[in-house]
Amino acid sequence: MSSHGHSVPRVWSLSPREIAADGTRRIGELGSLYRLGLIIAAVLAAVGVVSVIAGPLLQGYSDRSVWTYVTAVFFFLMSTVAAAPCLSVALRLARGHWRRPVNRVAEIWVAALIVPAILFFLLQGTHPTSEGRSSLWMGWPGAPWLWSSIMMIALVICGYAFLYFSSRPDFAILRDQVDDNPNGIFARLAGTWRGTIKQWAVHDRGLSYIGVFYVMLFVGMMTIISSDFIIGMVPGYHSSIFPVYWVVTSFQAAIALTLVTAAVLRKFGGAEKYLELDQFWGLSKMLLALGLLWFYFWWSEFIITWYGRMPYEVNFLRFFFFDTYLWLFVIVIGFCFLAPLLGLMWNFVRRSYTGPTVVASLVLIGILADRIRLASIGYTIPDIYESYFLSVPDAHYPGVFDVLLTVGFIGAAVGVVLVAMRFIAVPSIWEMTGGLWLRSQRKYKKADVIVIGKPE
Amino acid sequence: MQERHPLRGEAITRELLRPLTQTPMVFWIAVIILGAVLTAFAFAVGWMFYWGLGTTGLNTPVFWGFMITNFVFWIGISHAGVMISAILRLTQAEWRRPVTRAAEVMTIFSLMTAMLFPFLHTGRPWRTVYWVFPYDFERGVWPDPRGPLVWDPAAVFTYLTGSTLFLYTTLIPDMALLRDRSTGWRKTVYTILALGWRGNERQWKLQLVAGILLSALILPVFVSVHSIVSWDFAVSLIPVWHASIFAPYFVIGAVHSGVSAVITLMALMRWLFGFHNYLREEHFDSIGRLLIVVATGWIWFFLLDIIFAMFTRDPRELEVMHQRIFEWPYALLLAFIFVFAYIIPVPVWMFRKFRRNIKIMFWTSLMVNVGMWAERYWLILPGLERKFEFTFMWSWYRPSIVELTLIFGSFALVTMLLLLFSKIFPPVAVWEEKEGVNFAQDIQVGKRTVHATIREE
Repeated sequence: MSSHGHSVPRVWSLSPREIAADGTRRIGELGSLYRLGLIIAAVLAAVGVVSVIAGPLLQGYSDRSVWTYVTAVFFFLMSTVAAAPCLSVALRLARGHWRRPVNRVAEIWVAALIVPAILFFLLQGTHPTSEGRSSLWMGWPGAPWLWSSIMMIALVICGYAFLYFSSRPDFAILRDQVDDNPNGIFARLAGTWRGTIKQWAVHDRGLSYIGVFYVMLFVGMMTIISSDFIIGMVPGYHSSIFPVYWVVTSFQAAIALTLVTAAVLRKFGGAEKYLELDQFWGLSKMLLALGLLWFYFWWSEFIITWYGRMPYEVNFLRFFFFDTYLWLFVIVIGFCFLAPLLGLMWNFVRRSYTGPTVVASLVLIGILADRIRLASIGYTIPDIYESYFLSVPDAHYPGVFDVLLTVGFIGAAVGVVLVAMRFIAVPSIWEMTGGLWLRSQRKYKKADVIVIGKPE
Repeated sequence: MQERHPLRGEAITRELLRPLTQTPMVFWIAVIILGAVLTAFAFAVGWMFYWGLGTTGLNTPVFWGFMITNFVFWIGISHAGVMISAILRLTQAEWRRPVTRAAEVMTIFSLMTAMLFPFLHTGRPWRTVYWVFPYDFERGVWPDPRGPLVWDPAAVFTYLTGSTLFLYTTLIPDMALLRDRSTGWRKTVYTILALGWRGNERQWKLQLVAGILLSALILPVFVSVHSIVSWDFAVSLIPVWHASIFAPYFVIGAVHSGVSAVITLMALMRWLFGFHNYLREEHFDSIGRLLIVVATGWIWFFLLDIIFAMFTRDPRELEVMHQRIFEWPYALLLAFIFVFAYIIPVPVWMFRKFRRNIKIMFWTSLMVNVGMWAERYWLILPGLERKFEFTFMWSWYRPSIVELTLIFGSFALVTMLLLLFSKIFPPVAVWEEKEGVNFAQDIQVGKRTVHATIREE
């Protein structure tokens, strides 16, 4: 109800038939801007591949520090691309109505999961044996390479299964309305989908199960990454909150990525009818909450170390935050905490298109800076087998190849998503039409209200 | 999730005010039993004050035992109110309506009970008062505001003030209802408490805005309280306490035990007051699903705390961790915590038919809190027992009968306060239920009629 001054949001004005037609049109008619974006992404991807070959790969694995920026971009992609589907799962479980156009915007990024997966396998060579140092694996045979690889493969398979399962009803719509060929790609992808009651029941339940399983795998994988790539690489560092910080900031990045994607789709992707203020408002509230949580988790780690004043803990503080990587940390705290707090605390900013998009862009920059900082920390310690962290290393600065491969692999991930959008409707057709059935605008006494159906 | 019971205004008022007007026999039996336990509690307190802390199991270096464990536990339970009420209010979850009042009241009573224990723990609380008021600056010993024992009372009192205000704001419309339906001294009391509520448009608008504002403002306080309680331990250098995860780990544990306690309370209210039309299976179902997420988050934090403590190369830390995991009695306690707080309840909650079974939900929620109490004990004690480096300075802790009586007394105290509250104020918010009925709509989808609700903004 418009009880504290907000106007009643517009009811979606399209009929289910029109939404289906619009979705099929968006798949069929990808314009010149799309082609330009694809070409730029392909060029960047090529630059990334060349840079990683000419840079770290030619130098080999003897000096781990040359792999710092490969690790940084891997961290960044895991925190954005791989985290984005978790947002979709969470919104589905919470059953909010406003999330319908957002879900596909978030989960389409899972298509690019192949990029961090390739980087992960490249980085496996940088892992020293876990003997003689702290490690999550505690001497398991094959650790860390075998088990983390299994987890990564499981994550990738589950991610693609999630995207496929979520898109299947849309493939059937496209099969029936766009592609007349019974052996065409949409027919193959849709399989036997006819939209029977039983199929929908299996679809709903399956999507929830796969989604929850994906989130659990993601959290597990991020715990492993945080341990193998960072905590286990810094002698004496045993911060138990670090994996949580790592996961929570990834969720923050996922929301930011979804917001920026939604803004781009509104501007260039013909999705302005679907991605309205409601969606930006809802996501920006979540981004504000995650910004506050960023501070909470950072502070929880900081205060324990700062208060303890153990000599080696003071060295952690100097290395992580104050001396070596001070400027990166200033960018991180400014963009990941202060920008969401000072920007999104105002309702008029949250309830706009520009405000959340700008803040989300800053958050993504902040997360990239954070991941560069953490990769530099994990990959530049001279002797990881020491018992305590007794001396603070100097900062590690990027070379030309480092910059090029960072930009290149981010471009590659965007390129994969652009290709995926050639086949998968964004926003989802079936979720939008499903939402229309359960939504109506009515008169309630003197007010216009939105009524939302809750079928289960 | 929407399941309807066709109720209208007058029936809702009559049924929800029933605990105020009728007193079943079981109420008196409960009061007598709880009164007996509280008498024992008062006797134990008196005994401890008279004979001193030697009547407890506390010793050097184990200065914190059952009483501080109980303090942490009740602070944890108090997180239910905000978790249920503020977060669900902000996210506009419809199923919150019959649950919020009980959760908010439990917050306040458990906070009050929690605060009792640090005072009792001093042994002679009146001495604490004259050490502090008036403060003797001539001694040149200055209170250290950087100490967590100074942050702690500040956070807890802020939370108590905020929660009380929050509860009071939601009580006002119901107090006006009681004012209009009572006579004599009760009418006078309700008239004062209702603050001139007439239910006009402006008042409802202010009440709504106040509710949203307080919900948003109390959330940081809610997080800070248990974080600061955790820092009582974590900022020290005692082995296994000095862990960065303690703050969020304590908070999520608190939410786990607090929300479980709300389920226990809901089941009791349904049974005692016959609120079958309000505290329905769907509400247990929804909270059960919420608890699966919370419990899984808690177990992740629990495991992280254990695993990453082992990354340290500090022999003392590893020694205490070894004691916590492999040595009697803590190994058994660890297994007990796992089984009671996660392994049994969560798989049970996975099944819809179990989530909608009130008895199962009651017993599993009770089980969680037994497990969570043990978890608090498991977190606090081992580090203290081996606080010092030399084995001849190690010690053991065995609680005395006085401490056990205090623990059982605290449970009786909270239950008694809740019972008394239900005789003075409606334990389920009448106005929230009526609002829910007004918001209820239907939508026609094909041949099916789907329950719907007006979207709040």
